[in-house]
Amino acid sequence: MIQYYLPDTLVLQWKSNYRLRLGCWCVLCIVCYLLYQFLADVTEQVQDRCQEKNTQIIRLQRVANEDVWFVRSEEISRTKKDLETRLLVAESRGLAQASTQTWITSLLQQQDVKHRRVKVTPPVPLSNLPGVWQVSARVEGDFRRQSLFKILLDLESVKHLLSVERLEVQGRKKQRFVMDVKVFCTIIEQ
Amino acid sequence: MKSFFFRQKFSHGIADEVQVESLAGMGRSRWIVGRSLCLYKVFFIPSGIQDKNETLSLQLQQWSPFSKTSQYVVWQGNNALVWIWDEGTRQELLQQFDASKAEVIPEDLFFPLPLENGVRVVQCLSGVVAQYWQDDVLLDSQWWMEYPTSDELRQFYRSNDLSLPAQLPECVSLPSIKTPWGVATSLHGSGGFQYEQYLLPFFCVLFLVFGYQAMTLIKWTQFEKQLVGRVTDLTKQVEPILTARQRTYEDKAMITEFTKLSPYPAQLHLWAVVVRKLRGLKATVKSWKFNNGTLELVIEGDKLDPGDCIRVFSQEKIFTDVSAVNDRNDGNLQLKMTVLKRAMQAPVGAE
Repeated sequence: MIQYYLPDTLVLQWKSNYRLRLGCWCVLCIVCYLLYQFLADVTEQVQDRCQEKNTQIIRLQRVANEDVWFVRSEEISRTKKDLETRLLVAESRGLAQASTQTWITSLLQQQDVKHRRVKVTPPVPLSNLPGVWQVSARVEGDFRRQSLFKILLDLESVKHLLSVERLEVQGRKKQRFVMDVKVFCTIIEQ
Repeated sequence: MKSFFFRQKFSHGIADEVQVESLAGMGRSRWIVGRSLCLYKVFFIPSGIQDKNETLSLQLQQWSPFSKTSQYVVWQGNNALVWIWDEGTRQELLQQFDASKAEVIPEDLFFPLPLENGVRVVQCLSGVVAQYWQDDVLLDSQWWMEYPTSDELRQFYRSNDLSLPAQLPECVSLPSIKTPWGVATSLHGSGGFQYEQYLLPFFCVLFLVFGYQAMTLIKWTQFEKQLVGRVTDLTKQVEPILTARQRTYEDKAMITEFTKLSPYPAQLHLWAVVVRKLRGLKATVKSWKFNNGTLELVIEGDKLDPGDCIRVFSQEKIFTDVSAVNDRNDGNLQLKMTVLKRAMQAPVGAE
């Protein structure tokens, strides 16, 4: 039936040339094989994706059962807020520096520290804690054991978050102390 | 398969005589039906007729004198060049040879086409044949056992409305061509185009194989759609949980950073620990130097042994790398140690 739609020369070639026939059948077989391979590859890809989705579903189902995260989130949030309330609050950088200077100076005055010196640097932002600034203070004065301990007690019992980075008590006849304190604050500019 | 690689040519020239010889190359064997066993006729089927083969088939039934007829039909435009022979006789001979799958082709098809129009007389396997060619169409052909007489030839010319030539054609012996000059077509949709019979099963197998693979693909694709839908639903369901988890991790990280702001124990606590230790050693602090986790002390006492001091301070968990230098000149001992950072307490509920 096919031959009626084909040119005579083509049919003649097909009929007479066995190599042509064999070649065409080979090409047809190769094309079929490649098509089959293509289909098989696509199927395999879909199967892989299904496997991936299945794993994802198992993970999501596991997460879906973890209601405890709401409680954890609340508790952690509360703890974080508690910590944030421990930061000194100032309305500007200058005020943060000034209030730190005033506060530490008042501590020294209360203990009647002689030859006292307080040097406070301007606040610098902390890169790892956005919104938190650090005010560094160097405190110097004549050493008297009781007064230094009282100052340290006042510093550590205060609500503000601070850190004593350095404390040196030295001197042969007349001992002096040097203390580096870092006070952490937030600046809410209005 | 054997006949595929070992081709044979069966030349059936006379009724019960077949010559067998090998053919080069691969493919089907050939059964050459001698011209003496064939009848030849050209049928003109007008182009208006829808089913030319059916029409030709009816005409062949009327024309054939054989009880069981086989034919070889070559279409040239509206002309059907038809050879018929007695298939019953041939089948009887076939039993002697392994030639059931051989192509059956009349002898005329292996004579080369003439270079010019007209009549020629050609030597056959048995006898001679006169052929009348016009524009590469074999309009008439007649066989004789021997070279025809002039009357027989004249009769052939006249039957084709040809004027007699001055000299009658001589009988020529032509070399056989490799492939027949005309392609056979089947009158009933089978036999002529030999590979058609394999196409249906071939495509059936292909359909089954591809169908199976396609069904598998469709099944998996539908399954994937279901999974995607399930993932979407679950994602919506777990979104608040994931948000809470993410917020927890972020807050935890911030708390860790807050803890790092004041990493070392309070100075008062350090003083208390040191004084408690020195009381056991009966010594006092003469100089205190704490700087970023390193504590250097100068202590004063009687017969201070550096080994004892190191042992005493090393017992305390907040100190490490304790070392001592004894300055015998003034009875002081210089101690140096590292203060460990405060153990970070995990926030409640966080992993």
